[in-house]
Amino acid sequence: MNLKWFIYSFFLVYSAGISIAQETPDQYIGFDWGFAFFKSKPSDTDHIRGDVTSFHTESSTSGLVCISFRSSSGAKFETYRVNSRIGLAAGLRFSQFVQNMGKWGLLATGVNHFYWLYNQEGVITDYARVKSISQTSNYMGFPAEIRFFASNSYRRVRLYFKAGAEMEIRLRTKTEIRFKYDSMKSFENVVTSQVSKPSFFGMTLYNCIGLNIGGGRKPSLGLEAFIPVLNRRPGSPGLLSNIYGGGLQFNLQIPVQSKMR
Amino acid sequence: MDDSALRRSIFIKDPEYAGLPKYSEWGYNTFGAYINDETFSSGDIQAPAVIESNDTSMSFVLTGEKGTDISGKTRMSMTFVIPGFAPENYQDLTFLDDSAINLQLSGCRVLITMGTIQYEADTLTGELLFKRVQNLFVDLNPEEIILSGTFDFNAYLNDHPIHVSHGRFDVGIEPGTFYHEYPYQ
Repeated sequence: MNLKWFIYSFFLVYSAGISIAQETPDQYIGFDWGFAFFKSKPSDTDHIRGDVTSFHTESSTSGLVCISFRSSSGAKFETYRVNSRIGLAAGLRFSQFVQNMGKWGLLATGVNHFYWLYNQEGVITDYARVKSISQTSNYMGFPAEIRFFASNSYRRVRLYFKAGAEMEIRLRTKTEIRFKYDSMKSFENVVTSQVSKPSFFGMTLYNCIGLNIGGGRKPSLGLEAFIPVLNRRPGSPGLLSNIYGGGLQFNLQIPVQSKMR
Repeated sequence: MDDSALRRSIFIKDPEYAGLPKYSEWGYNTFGAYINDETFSSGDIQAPAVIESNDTSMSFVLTGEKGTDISGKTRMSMTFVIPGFAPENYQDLTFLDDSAINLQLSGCRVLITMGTIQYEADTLTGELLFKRVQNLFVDLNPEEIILSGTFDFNAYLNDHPIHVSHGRFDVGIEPGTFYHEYPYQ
C-alpha cells in the first residue's frame, strides 16, 4: 500500500468530515483494547549468519522465526456528525510491541540456535550461539480516527469502516538475549548493544471494519478487525522490521451527550 | 568443539551471476565459477573444500559439480597448488589473509580432476585471492578457519583453451578438512 496515498486520503477525509457538520454533535468517551500480529523480518542482518532473505516468513520451518506482536489500550473522545453517520475521534493510546526472533525448537528444523557475529578484530571473528532475542518497547501514541457508519443511528447493530493514524513516542525498550549456553551471559551487554533499537518516533496507520452494538443514550460496544495495520519507524525499525499486520480491537463507548434514541 | 551446523552449506544464489553463490565471508561452505560457459559450483556437496599440506607446498582443493541439472552434472575438483607455504595446522592458514597468488608463478599449479582423470592446466594468466581469512571462535571456542576470496584464470587444459571467471569461495577449514603430510624423519 502506498503510504503517501494513505496519509493524504486520511487527512483529506478527516478535514472534510470536520467541515461537514454544523449541528451540535453527539459526543462519546471511548476506551479501546486491541492487538495485532505483524509479518516482519530481521533488521540486523549484518550480524546474523544464514540465508536471511528467507527468514521473514513467520512460519518458516528452516530459518528464523520472527514474531512481532502489538497490544494497546487507549481512551478517545469521539463526536458523531451528519446524522451520526460519521465519527471523528482523537485521544491517547499506550501500546507495547513484543518482538521475538529465534530458532524455536518446535518450529525450526535442525539446530535450535543461530549465530550472532559480535566481534571482528583482525583475523579473529567471534560468533555466539543464540536461541532467541526478544525486544519489548512501550509507546505513548496520539490516535486520530474517522469512521463511516453504513446505516443510520436507529439501528442497534451498525456496520462501520474506520481509518486511523497514530503518532507514537517510544517510552522504553528492553532487549533480552537467550544464549544457547549460560556461559555466554557475560556477553549479553555486547550483543544487546548491537541489536537495533526502534527510533524515538513512529507511526501506525490502520483501516478497520467493525460492528457497533448498542448506542443512543446507552454505552455501546464495538468489535473491529484491522485490515491491515501498518507500522513505520523512520530511521530504525528495531529488532524486527514490520511489513504489515492484522488484528482485532474492542471498543467501549460511553455517551457524554447524545440525541440518538 | 565440533559444531555440525557450521559444516552445512548455505548456498545463497547470486542474482547477478546465475548458478553461482553470492560472494560472502561467513563460512557458508560454498564456491562457484564459470568455466567457459558452464558453471562449476559446490552445489549440495558438504565440506567442498580441503587443504592438503606437505613440507614444501599447500594444495587448496575445491570439489563440486560442473554443469547444470539440464545439461547434466559431472563431479569435478579444482586444486590450486601453492609452493613455498606449508602450514602445519589449520590455524596457520591465517597467514593467507589478504594475499593474492599469481597463478603464473613458477611452481604454482592448477589441477582439474573429472571422474578419475586428472589434468594439469597450463596457466597463461590468473590469480587466486584470499580476500579475508578469519579464525572463527564460536562461544569462545576455536571452531574453524574461514577462507573467503576469488579466483580466475586463463589456461590450456588438455590442449583446449579454458577461461575460468567470476570464481568465488567461502569455506570453512577445520581439523577434519585439513591434512598435513609430515616428511619422514
